[in-house]
Amino acid sequence: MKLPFILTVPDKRPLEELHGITTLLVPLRGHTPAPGIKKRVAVAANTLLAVHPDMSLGEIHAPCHGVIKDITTRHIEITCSETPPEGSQPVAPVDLSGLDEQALCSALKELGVSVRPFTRPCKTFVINGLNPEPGMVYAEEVLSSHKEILEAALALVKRLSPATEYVLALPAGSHSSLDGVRNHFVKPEYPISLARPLIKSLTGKESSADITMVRLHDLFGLGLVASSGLPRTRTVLSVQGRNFLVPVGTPVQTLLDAALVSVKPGDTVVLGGAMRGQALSVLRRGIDKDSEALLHIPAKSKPPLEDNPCINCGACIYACPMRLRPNMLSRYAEFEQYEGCTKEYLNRCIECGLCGYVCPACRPMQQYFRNAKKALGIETLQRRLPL
Amino acid sequence: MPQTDITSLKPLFVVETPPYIHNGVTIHGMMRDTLLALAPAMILALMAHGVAAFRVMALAAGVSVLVEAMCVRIAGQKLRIEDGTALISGLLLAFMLPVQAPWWLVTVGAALSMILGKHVFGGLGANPLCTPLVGWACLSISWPKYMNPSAMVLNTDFLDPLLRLKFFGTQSISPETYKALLMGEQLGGLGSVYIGALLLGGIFLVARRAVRWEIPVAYLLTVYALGFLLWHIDPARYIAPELYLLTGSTVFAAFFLATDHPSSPFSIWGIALFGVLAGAMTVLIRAYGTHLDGAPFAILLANLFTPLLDMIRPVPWGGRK
Repeated sequence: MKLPFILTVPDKRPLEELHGITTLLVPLRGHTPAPGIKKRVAVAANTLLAVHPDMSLGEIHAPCHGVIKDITTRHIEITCSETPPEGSQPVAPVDLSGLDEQALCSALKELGVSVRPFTRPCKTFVINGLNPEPGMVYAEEVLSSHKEILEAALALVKRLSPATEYVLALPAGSHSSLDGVRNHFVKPEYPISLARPLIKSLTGKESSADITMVRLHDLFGLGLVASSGLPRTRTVLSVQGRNFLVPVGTPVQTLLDAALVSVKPGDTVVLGGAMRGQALSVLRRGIDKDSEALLHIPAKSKPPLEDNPCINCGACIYACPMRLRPNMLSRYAEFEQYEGCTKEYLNRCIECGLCGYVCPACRPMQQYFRNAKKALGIETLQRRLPL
Repeated sequence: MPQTDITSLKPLFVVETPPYIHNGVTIHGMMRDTLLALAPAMILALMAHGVAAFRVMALAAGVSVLVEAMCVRIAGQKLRIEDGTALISGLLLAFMLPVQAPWWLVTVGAALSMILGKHVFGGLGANPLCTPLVGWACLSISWPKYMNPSAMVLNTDFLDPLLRLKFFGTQSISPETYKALLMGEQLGGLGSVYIGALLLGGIFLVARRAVRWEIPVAYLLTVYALGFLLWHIDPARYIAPELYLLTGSTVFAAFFLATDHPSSPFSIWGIALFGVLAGAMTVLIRAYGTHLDGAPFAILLANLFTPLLDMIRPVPWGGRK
């Protein structure tokens, strides 16, 4: 059971960049196109594309020069070009120094950064330096070879966060460090990389009060903005054990081609990790700012999910890091007895996926939990809590 | 980089909820492992009794599968014969029947197991009692004469050790015969007498994670400890503790009946208490009860405590609220 959950890789895997990308599908998350952004409009790299009224969601910018080919509710499609097309306005870097906290927040939002995790009230600010899930391998590389980007981000975080103490969670044996940040070593075994188990290992207490945890991925994204003054248009992600630093909106198909993965009908393509990611139905989809991994799961490499009844074996109870009873939870959810889910502490579930990993009946545990959470309105609550 | 027209590719993908990896232990795999674990005892039974043993096992398994298919159809459920749970239930029942059991006894037992032991409660995963034991209990209460191996199996030199221990004194089995008992040279259920083979199969089952190790360990330890206690009090009145394990269906019950997932508790304390309860019942029934073999009824009684034991739950992360 331990083997697939080791969160470190022994070798270094550099961030590769892709060249010659022809099309970008920049995803929108409820954003509306910015004024002047229409089909067939030429845009320079870093031009503002879409805005969102929510202060906690960053705006969206063009990751490359090009012409807008299509705008849907889900994405803006850009045909890329090497040089700025005619009629486009170049974008100058923003100077972030000397801004007060309020001004910095809005400047960062305008640069495409979701600032909420960095401004949350807390005493201890934890940087999760572990690869969050099996299938992600970027943490070691980012920590060792791109330290200056992280430290640029950290300088901004120290202006934003009320925290008095900064902690970097690292796999045991790691030699990475950041200036002014205390190291905390953990055994790198999933699910320690998730917020609640990590906070427990740090404080010894089962409460996330006064603690904020951000993923290394988010800190790196902030660092890209902080070090250049340009909008957040690139992201780092692991594709089948290789790391890429690519523009936001890079189509999944392009990344799979770059990683030399050929996908056959019946396979599963997962955006995100093997335990918590999202299976894609089409490859014509751009990666988002928070995409951390892209995985190809060949057909028949795992038993398919079925609507089997729970056989009460108790394997999930042993696996659950939150000490819940996923067997009872999933049964209540299956038969829509949602008040039972509340009694079984559904709100503590962090959707780590371990119950589904061990379930011999191959029940769609996460699906049951998500249905119940949606019915109970827990989903919106949890988005605000550090999971 | 090759230029790909991303609009032209339209393969169909499997879209599931996470996780996208699995540890490989499935119901189907568990049942296959159980079949493998039963195989040594099955082979020994076939070697000893030949076609008579085959007849009982095949009939019980066949009737179980047929009755399951029928019940599933009546209940309008999804047919899951291929997962092997019905086949295993039938085989487990056959292991407890005498080898010369008449065909109607086997048929009625297997059918009752499936109907009363499983499908009236909702099928797979819903049985409150160990499925094959329900059929066994019906048979041994309704037709005790046909279920008695001493009466049914005539062409044998073996004696029923349970009968001997009960009526011929606690010293009637000497330690020199322990090896023979382990090898199954005794009278009893068709398969449950092959203590050594079943022990081997049980260890395989635990190693393959098809059953939880806590149940057999708690159960067998309790049987031995309580047996030892009684024997220590009065060796003339109570049998030696190892005889509880070497005779009757104690080992068979420990690994194959008590570990039935739906009818056993799921929390660690629940499981430990379940094992202790079943173990204590086994010894008490054998020492004081009218039934010769304590294990099956002990497991059935312990099964009744499962809902109660399942109320023991771990404290969730962050404490109860």
